[in-house]
Amino acid sequence: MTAPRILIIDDDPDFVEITKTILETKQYDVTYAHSQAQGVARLEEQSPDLVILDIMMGRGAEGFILARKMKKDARYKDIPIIMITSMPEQTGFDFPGDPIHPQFLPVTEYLEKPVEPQVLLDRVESLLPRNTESRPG
Amino acid sequence: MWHSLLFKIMVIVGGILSACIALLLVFTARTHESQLMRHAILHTGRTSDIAARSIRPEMLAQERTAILDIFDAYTQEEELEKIRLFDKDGMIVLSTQRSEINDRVDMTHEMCIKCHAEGPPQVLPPPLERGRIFRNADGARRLAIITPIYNAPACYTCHDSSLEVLGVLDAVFSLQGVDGSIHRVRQAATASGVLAILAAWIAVAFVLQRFVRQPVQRLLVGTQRVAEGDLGIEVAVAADDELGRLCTAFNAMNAKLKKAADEHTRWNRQLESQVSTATKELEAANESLRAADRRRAEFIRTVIHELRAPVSAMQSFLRLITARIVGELSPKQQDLLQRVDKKCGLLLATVNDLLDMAAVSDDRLQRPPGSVDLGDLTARCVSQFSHLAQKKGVRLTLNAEADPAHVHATARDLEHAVSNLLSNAVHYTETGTIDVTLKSEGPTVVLTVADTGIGIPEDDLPHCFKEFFRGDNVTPHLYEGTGLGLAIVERVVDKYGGTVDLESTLGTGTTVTLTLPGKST
Repeated sequence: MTAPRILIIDDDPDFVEITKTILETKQYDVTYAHSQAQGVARLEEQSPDLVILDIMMGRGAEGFILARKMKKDARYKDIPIIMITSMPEQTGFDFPGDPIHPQFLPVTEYLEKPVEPQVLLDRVESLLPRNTESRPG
Repeated sequence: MWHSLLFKIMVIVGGILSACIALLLVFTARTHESQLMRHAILHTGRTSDIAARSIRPEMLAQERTAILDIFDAYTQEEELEKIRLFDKDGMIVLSTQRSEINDRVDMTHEMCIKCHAEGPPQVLPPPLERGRIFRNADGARRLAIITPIYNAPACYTCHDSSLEVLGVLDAVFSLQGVDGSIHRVRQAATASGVLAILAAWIAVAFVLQRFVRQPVQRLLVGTQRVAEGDLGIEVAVAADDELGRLCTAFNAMNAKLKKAADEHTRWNRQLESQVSTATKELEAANESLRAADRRRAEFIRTVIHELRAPVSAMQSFLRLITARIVGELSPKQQDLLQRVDKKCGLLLATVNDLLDMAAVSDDRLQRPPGSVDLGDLTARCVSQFSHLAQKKGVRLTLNAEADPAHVHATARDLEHAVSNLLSNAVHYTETGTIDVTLKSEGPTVVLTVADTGIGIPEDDLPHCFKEFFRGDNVTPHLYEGTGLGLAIVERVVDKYGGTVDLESTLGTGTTVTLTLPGKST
């Protein structure tokens, strides 16, 4: 049995550390990347079951761009994405309760920092594919 | 024609001149004519006298035929038409016109009246008084002169010495020659008069043209050009008369005008350049202000992000610990760490509120305003807070009389305003109700949030819209807040031309009324 693999892409090492700690309590296989480029490389190497993505890395909304790239790529388009941000206004949605638009913000879930550990664990569990355990290596 | 100065002067001066010339010529001609007549009459009188004297011997000799011969000889002269002799009773005794001999002349009609009018008859009056001028049927003028033949001692042989006048010699002269001369004089006078008048008119016209019309015309053209704005022109000065001086004065005035205009233009240009320089400076200042504003907004965003990231991380670490993921905690440690977490939350809320406030006044931080349904937005906000209200046991109701209620704003700004009002109401109400009402009043949309909460002391009411202001009755550990909520609400309504009213009674409740201009679509 292989533990589900989760890739965290965020330039903030604190956040990576926190998220990693939370997720490892449930024995997930957690890897991380500190930049968009590194994130793309990790995606190719490890084909994760779920991606946790920060919107803002460095100066711009690199998280957005990466999410869109993933949805356009046949290899990654089915991987669920949880987008986490400390700047809710950067999602471009006027109203926090607005549904996530699949074309504008192609992510499966959207959370704000700081994240409640239990909330994160619940969301991750609900988004992971049911057949993970039978997936080959 | 009458609007021409030249024409007026020509008519007046030429007319007067013509009249003078005509009068002078008429007078000269008349004088000449009367002189001619006088000469004619004197000549005729002399001829008549000579004729009377020359027939004397023949009369003494009683030679009627000889007298007639003498008369005939006289009438051979061109001008003497007829000579006749009649006695003192008017009986024609002799005449070169034989047919009228023995006829009687009408003494009242003929020249006899000259001497016989009244009193004793005159004795040989001068020739000018003895003549009369008349016209015959042929229309030609004639002059008849009578010459009395007086009784003399030589005549006493036949005539009684008591008689004074023996008869009267009447000589008729033709005035054709004289009249011809007069006619020629008149013709000459008329011709010279016409010529003189013509010459006078031409002279007047020339003088006027040369000395009046040309300079006036030049002045007129000059004035017109000055009126059209051509200040540089100079009118030629023709003479040293009044008009010439007028031209000089005009040129001097024009030069001064030009100088003033040039000065004005120069001044204008200077002003323009000053204005343009000032405008450029203003633009530059404006641009640097805008740049400063951009830098300020950028700075605020950066500050907020830099504040939020570490607080957020701190809170995340705290939650890792309080969730006992990394190990067990004593109850005291748990309590203390949870209080630190709460303070972190408050700090984050303040930072977020500050960001909201910055967003209200900084258009770059959000989308442009459009038509937003305040009814829909309020309903969503109410549903967000309903869970919290329910937890506290407060009844939160929405009564939307106006639905939809469109206003011109951004959804984000309105959401901040409405959720801050609701947040205040829910936080400061422990029991009772929160009634949210939305209705249209004419062109405006009115949102009312009325709670039965702790209320606001009267003294605090005027300060409620100040940033970071919190009421005296707010116990910090019971009601945590940033003190920015109403300030954000006021900024939002100000931005969209609305108003916010606050009514409150301490311990009874608070009613906030938000009025915004409605939008028809």
